[in-house]
Amino acid sequence: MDTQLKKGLLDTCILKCLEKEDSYGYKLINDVSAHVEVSESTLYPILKRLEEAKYLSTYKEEHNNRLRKYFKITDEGRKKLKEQIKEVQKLREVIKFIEKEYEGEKENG
Amino acid sequence: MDKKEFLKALEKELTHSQCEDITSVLEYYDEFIEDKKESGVNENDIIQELSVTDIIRNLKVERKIEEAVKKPSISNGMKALIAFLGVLSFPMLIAFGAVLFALFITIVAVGFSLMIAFGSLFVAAVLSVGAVIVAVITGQIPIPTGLLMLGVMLVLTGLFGITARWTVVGSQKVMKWFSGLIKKKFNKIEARTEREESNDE
Repeated sequence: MDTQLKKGLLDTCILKCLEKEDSYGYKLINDVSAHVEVSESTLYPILKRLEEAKYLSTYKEEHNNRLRKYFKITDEGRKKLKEQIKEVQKLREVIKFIEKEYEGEKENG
Repeated sequence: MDKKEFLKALEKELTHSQCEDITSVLEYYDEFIEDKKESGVNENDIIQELSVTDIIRNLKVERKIEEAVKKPSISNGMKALIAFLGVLSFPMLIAFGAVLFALFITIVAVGFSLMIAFGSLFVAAVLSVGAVIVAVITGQIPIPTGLLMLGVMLVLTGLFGITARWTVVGSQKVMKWFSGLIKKKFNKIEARTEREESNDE
């Protein structure tokens, strides 16, 4: 997918994942990349940005004798997610329009 | 390369690229490698798929976006500066206008007085030609002297006439140039204001 387009959507995907349950880096990569391709090196900066924007909070929990960093969505984050979902719905309208045009072109040969 | 070596190499590059949160990045990758190992992937394979260059590049991209969001672009800064100068330049504009007006009046006055001066000289010359003719006819001046004076007077009449005309044409030209200049300046200011207004929308 186009990187510019993906970048905007990844924030929403991550917030959406965290809306269900708290999660950690590796799991987030796996959950998100089931739908959108995301690498660990792209995820880190996004998580950091969302955390700095106070959309996420973090805590550490012990796992197999080591500490794992968990991410938790904040109230601000939930608000942001709602806004972003509205934006996605607008995007859907654009996609519908493009697809319709595309279909029309195909039919007309 | 094992995890320890990879993290060391990454730390070196992070320091080199003046990364702010080296510890946090290192912890993230340490955790990532451990979690992926737990899922059954061999440590060496994990490391091989990781690229320090990619990591640094993505961090840099993010940092640039952040900077762009935090401090509005230079053009915005320039806009603020222009706005600030605009506030300053308002009284300056008045002063500038006053100077222009004074200059305009001066040009008009100089042109007008030159016209009057040369015009009256011309009129005087014409009158003296008449006077010389009258004086010759009435016999007050001997004919040769009268002819000489007449010649001089006619030359002067021509000279003053031409100069007076030049003054009129000259001042008209100067006025036209000057008003054109002012018009151009104001058009420019107007265009700039309109452009700024449309940019603000």
